[in-house]
Amino acid sequence: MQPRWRVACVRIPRFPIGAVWRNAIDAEKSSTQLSFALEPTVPHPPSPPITPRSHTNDAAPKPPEDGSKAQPKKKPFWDEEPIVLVEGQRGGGGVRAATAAAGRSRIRVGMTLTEAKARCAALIARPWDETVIAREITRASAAFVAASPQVTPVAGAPGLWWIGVNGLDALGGEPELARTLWHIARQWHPQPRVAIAGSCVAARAATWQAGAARWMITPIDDESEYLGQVPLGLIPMDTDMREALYALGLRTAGALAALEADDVERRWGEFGLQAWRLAHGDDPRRPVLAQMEAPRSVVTELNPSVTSTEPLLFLLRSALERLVREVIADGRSIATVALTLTLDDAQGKSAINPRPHTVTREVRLPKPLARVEPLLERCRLLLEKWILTAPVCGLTVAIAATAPLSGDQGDLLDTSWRDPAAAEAAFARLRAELGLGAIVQPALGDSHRPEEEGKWDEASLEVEVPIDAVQDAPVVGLAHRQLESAEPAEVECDQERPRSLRWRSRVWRIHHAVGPERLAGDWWRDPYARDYWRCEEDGGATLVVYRRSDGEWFVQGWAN
Amino acid sequence: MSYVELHCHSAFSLLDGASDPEALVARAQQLGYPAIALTDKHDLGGAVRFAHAAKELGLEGIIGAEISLEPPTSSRLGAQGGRAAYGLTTKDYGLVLLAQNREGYGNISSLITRGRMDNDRGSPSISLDTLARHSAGIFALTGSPNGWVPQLIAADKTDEACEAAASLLDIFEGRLAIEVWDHHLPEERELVKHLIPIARSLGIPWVVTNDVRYVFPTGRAVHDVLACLKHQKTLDEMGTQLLPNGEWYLKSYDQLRRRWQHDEAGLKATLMIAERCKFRLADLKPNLPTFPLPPGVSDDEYLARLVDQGAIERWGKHLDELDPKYRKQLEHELALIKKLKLAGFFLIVWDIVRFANREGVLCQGRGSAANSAICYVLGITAIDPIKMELLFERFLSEGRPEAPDIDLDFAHRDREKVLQYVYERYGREHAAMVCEQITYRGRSAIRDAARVLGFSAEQAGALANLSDRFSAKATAEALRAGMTAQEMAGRYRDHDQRWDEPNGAYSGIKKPNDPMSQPWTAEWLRAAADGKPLPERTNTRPFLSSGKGRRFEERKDPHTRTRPAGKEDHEERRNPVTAVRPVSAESILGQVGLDSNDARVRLIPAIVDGLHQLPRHRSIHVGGFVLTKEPLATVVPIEPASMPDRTVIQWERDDLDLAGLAKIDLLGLGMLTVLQDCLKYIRATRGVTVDLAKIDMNDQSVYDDLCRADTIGLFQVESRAQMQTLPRLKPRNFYDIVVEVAIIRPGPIQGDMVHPYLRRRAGKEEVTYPHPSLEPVLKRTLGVPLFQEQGMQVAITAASFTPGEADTLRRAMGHKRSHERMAAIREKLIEGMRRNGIPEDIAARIYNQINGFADYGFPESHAASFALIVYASAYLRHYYAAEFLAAMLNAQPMGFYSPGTLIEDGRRHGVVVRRVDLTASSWDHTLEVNGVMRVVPNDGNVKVERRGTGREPVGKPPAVRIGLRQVRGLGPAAREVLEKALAEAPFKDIGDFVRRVKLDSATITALATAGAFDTMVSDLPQARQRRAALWRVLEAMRGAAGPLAPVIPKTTTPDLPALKPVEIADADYRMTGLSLNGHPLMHLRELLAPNGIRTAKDLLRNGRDGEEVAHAGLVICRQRPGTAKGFVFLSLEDETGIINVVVTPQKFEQQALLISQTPLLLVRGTLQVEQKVVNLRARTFRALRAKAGEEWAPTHDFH
Repeated sequence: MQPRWRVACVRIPRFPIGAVWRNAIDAEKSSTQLSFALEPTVPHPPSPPITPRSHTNDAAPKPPEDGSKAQPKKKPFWDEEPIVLVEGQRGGGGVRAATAAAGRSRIRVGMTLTEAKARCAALIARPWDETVIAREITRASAAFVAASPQVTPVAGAPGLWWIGVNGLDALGGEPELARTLWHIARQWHPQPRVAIAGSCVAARAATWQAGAARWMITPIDDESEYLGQVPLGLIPMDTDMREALYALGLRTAGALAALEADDVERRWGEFGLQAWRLAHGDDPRRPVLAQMEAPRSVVTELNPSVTSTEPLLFLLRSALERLVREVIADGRSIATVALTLTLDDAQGKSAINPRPHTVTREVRLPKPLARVEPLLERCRLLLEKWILTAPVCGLTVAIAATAPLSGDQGDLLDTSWRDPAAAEAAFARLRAELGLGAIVQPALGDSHRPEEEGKWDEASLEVEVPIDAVQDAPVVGLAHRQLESAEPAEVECDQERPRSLRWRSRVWRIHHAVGPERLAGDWWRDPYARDYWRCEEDGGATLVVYRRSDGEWFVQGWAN
Repeated sequence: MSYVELHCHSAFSLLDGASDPEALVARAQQLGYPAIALTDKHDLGGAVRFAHAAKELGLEGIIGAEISLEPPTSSRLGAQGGRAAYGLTTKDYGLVLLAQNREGYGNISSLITRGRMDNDRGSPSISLDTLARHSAGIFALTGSPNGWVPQLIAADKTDEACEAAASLLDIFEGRLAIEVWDHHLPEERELVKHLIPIARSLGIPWVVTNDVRYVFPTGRAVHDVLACLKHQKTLDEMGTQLLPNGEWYLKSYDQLRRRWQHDEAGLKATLMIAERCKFRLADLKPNLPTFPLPPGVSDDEYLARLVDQGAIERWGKHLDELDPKYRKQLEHELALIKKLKLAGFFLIVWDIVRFANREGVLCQGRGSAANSAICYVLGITAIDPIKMELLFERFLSEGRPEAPDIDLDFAHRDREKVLQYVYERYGREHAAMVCEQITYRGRSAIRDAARVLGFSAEQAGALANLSDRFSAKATAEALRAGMTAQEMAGRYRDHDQRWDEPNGAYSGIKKPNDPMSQPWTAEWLRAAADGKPLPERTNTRPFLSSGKGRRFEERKDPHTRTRPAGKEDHEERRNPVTAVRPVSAESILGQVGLDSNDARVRLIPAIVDGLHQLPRHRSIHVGGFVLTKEPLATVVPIEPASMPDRTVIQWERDDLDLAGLAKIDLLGLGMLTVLQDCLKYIRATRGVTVDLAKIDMNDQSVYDDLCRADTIGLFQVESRAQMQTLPRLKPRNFYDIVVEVAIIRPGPIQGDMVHPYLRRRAGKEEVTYPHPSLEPVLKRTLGVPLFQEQGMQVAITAASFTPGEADTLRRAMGHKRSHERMAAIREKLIEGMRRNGIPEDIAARIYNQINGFADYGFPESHAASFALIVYASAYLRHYYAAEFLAAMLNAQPMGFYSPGTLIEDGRRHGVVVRRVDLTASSWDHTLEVNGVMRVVPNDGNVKVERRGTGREPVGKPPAVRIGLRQVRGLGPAAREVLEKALAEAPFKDIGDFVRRVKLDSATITALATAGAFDTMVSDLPQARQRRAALWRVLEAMRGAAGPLAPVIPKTTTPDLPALKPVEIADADYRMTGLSLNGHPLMHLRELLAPNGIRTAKDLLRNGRDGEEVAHAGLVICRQRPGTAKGFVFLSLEDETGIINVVVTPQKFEQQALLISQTPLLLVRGTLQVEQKVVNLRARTFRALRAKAGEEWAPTHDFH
């Protein structure tokens, strides 16, 4: 008897926040400001009793304070602090993730940072960092590999994994696997959820239904019964369909599954059928053997079929562009490209095999690449030599092998070698060496404050400042060369007008001062009010100084 | 030496000015200006208020405007390429225009009109050609840095700038000055360097302005907020679109002199220009249009003819044949009208009424016009003032300078016909509607404040829900979290003025009465923002003072505008939550989940306070129409309204009297639509024609309904307060209804007239009079003065005032009191009474009574006009309940109660109401007569559909069929589709429906959930019909997969869960706001009854005074009247009726949110039964949950 296929789902709550927080701690270890606990302070609980094929319902680990009765007060775990991850450096894109503590302050994903802060003045905001999160996902995936060779992080859902279960009976079976996974996951959060079921959809639903239990194993023989009780909300489907099902009084996956397939198809079409199949536990998704990259391919059908390879080049280019973009995003480069042609034998010359068949050939590169042009050239050569035995009705471009992005900048004088991916890789190395924020590029700021007229943004090869924007920008020009931050100075005045100033241990005699030019604002966040003077000193330099509303003087910079 | 500010924006430069016109004038007077100009951007909306304030303070108020000039077509003279100065756009160029004389004013007004009418809404501009045609009588300034000339300089086109200035000089024939400014900005100084030489080269003056946007530096924050709203951005996103500092305030001569001390010519020029601008708004004397008359007949003669004809219609006799009392009154009125030259005005109004009658639009005059016998005979009003002994002088008297106030009510659905008739009759050049300046109130202010600070709409909405509905200031006070107003005001100080004082920064002299003399430090501000205890402000500098409370002194300035009494009342009204004083700011903020420690949260109150009563946008007045003989645009700018085919002037109602414009109010009244429709329905269903003018006004069965307070849906007497009074007042004749209408008003309640009157009516208190001579005046109101006319008659009778003097007395005692005037009037009144032998102590008492009463009394004529409609509605509801209910439902939204409550009430009165059904319903609610006839209304038209050949059962009451309009989520598009399909034929089955109607799945689901398809699946039990119908509709909607694969519908339906009764009710309420399948309370009854929770019917019939009871109901109304001293009144509806609940302020405070937001309440308390009026005085509250759709039931809260 063939064993049933089973899958485990691991869900680590608010995983991205933990990842970013951990990274921040690593980066700023010396800072006393970030002194929250990195890891959960939950004492390691004893192994739960294992009952074969039972729903394991261990009590959830007690809150951290339980274990700290007689101990000095421990620093709170990050999830107990009001922290959010926000889109963009200044949170302009809104909150993308919030800790449990922030959630208790009614901070929700999608809010702006201002809204969120209005609900919790003590809120800590950190930017959502894809790189860091991806790195942490990889780290966690690697950790889960210790329990099973089949580990797949769920795309678009950081903190969720599907893990293969089959073939591990000798190592203690499902209960042991669940326990192991749970303990591994606790490195990231004290209350992870682990569930094992006969399909991905059921396993994922079980993580939500596990409640206070650490893990949940659905009975093998009664999968459909279990899934039947799952709320409809846990079955992926179109919103309209879900609302219609609710209006029909259907509330569970079982109720959906009880409908006849053709009834569902008549009302919601193919997508409805997909949901219906999921409600039956018929989920095509599978965890795969652990690998750091997912196979990437672009499949294109041709209708009508083509008899030469020339039209394929257009498809090839766009496919390669997409694949290159994707591998770069993963920090990889392409080592091997596989081209598969689907030949329409029924219409072609060969009558031997009337069914369409595919032919695959590979382009193995001497050196991994992450640029379209050279890849296209090599693929073109392959296609040109390809003798077609039938019209082509499909093209599949797949990345058969990848390698880490080397960061090779190539020959900068050769335009074909200007590889953004290589530059990004170089930047990444520099960042790793010098820290985040080390690579910057100039950008215009929209502010009356001279120090904010220009700014340094995190360098990105995708950001380009339009020339028009530069030309249209207001030119205030109070200081052409600004100090990193304004420095205090002592100024002597005559009728308000500066006559001399002492700055950096030197006295500057002013023979002509123009001003005051008054700038004041930002009353809603960081109010300021300054009277600026351009002071020409005897040596010929023009210092830009200002007096604050409290009478203190500062040097902002100088003009030359 | 002095200075005149010639370039000032008030808040009427919408979103580019942060101060009231009055505040500008008051500050100008403080600063010693001899004059000041108001130059709002394309707007004269503040001109009347400004002129009035200037006149009151003895300042010369120069009227002007800033217009946007379109860039000339010659590219050489366009400033493209010039950079914008601190966020100003270069799309149009600003130009300041000042009126030198009446012609100049007319031209400015015309230019604004053209700019507004000829361009898209919100972006007015004027071409040079148009400007040239309307330049006479105007003195122009070249404008701020966004002006044409400065912009050319900024674009390095100095020669072209000079040429542009020369062009303007030609257009204005020398009446031009080059404007310069200094807000401490290098860009401006650079421009000024070039502007002054241009002025000198052209031989014209250069003139200093400060391009003022707010009165004090504190106004900067509000201006920034308004700028954000203008650009639809948050403060964080604005960047350089905000002004770079806070220097755009009204400055003193000394401040300006220091800047321009090297050459004071620019300052002197302000005086010279002010001298030339002599036009004052008081010089505006618009005339009414001439009514088209037969040849050789004057308007007075024509009016007399009409009066004569009207006398025949009303009384069956010619004027000269009438009873002397009638004849004398009509002749008196005609003589006065002739003397005041108002015959044309009356003819215009008569003509409008005639048109409405011709078109079948129900129409009736209301208000003081009902005091006029001429209005009665002309058909303008429906009350015989002579028979009712109403005082004509309340309407019109010799001493009143302005035209009388005539308000006409029309059936609201057809009012547009009348409006368009007036436009066509007098021409759009001479007619326009009055605007209503919508100002910031509590909710709007908090929404916008939160928005610009970056909060979400959800947070803003939550805060707004807990805010004062009417007053932004009250909202700000309630929300101030730990920081006082003055502390918050300090945040938006930019620079203290000492920097502008002579002799350096630290030797300034504090200006007297200067609220902004308090300095600030950044440390202090940061501490404030961080919510830390504010550091003590050390008064280290000799000129500093605390300045506490000054910001509010600014608002309390006696010269700030006095709002009309009604609006003042609103100002005093409070939100149910914020009005409760002990509720702390933290508590309010906490309720909406805001952290009071957050720096931005702490800023909200200050911004809200700053927005208090500032104009927000312009709307159309409910009905005010102005007509002029001269082109109206030369009197006041006209602009297109948001509604198609409407134009509005830039002045609102209160401005008209001061400007001498006559207004006619053409109002829409929902109840007239109901009556109009109801009469049509009755004619169609029963073949009966009811003439409202001839109904029996003494039908005691109708009065029985009123005495029982059985008045849901009736005009004016359906509110909780009216229903409480009716059983005590026990109306038995028409005049009793007049009293009933008048007595439940804020005035009589505040004036403590209600209870004395009711006690006397019940015989519990002796009827007395202040003096025997006043008995004839006060007898019909049992010695209690209720009506304004009685106040006047007391003065006439007791002090021998003439009617005109009595009207002057009434008006003097009204809103705009002055001590001097009141003292003079008192002396005259006392003296008059003394002469008539009334002892001085009694005379003083009478005076005090009249004085106190002046604010509160209600016009008797107005009450009488409304009483007619009250009786008509009560009569129709009593005899034709089904038709009345259908008319009420089709006229929604209107009245006090939701459709659900109206239907519940209708069913209690025996009306059969049928559910919404796609095989039987139309869009509107229809009437069905025994299955043989259907009356289908549609926007006022009635179509009668006959089914079968049976005889119509004429006279039998019809049933009301709920219309599809009641289903939520059906928008105009769905309406159009459904109406079109229904016009062809009724739907037969689901397939037929899906074939003929293309609607989205959400709409179809809504219809199915509402039960509209139920009849089409009648083969199933009722509990399964809705879901089965949806199941089939979903299939039918998807249709065939292709022409070769037709869908063969399955006849079976899967075993979908049947709906429980409570789920059906829930679906009903969710989709239609009402349920014919049972009130939500019905589903809880079996739980409630064993627990001693009694029904409304039981309490109303068997309840005893003082009994401790428990009652549960759906809250259909929550009220907190301004006159009720914090008491809250709830109306709880169950399946048997409605009970009123009284909540003391203390109880309300304890559970404000529960009471304000819970749909189903269980209330325990003490029953109060007095004269058949039953109230439940609440002691405890508990929320109930029936899950029967109660949260979808509409409520009428705090209106």
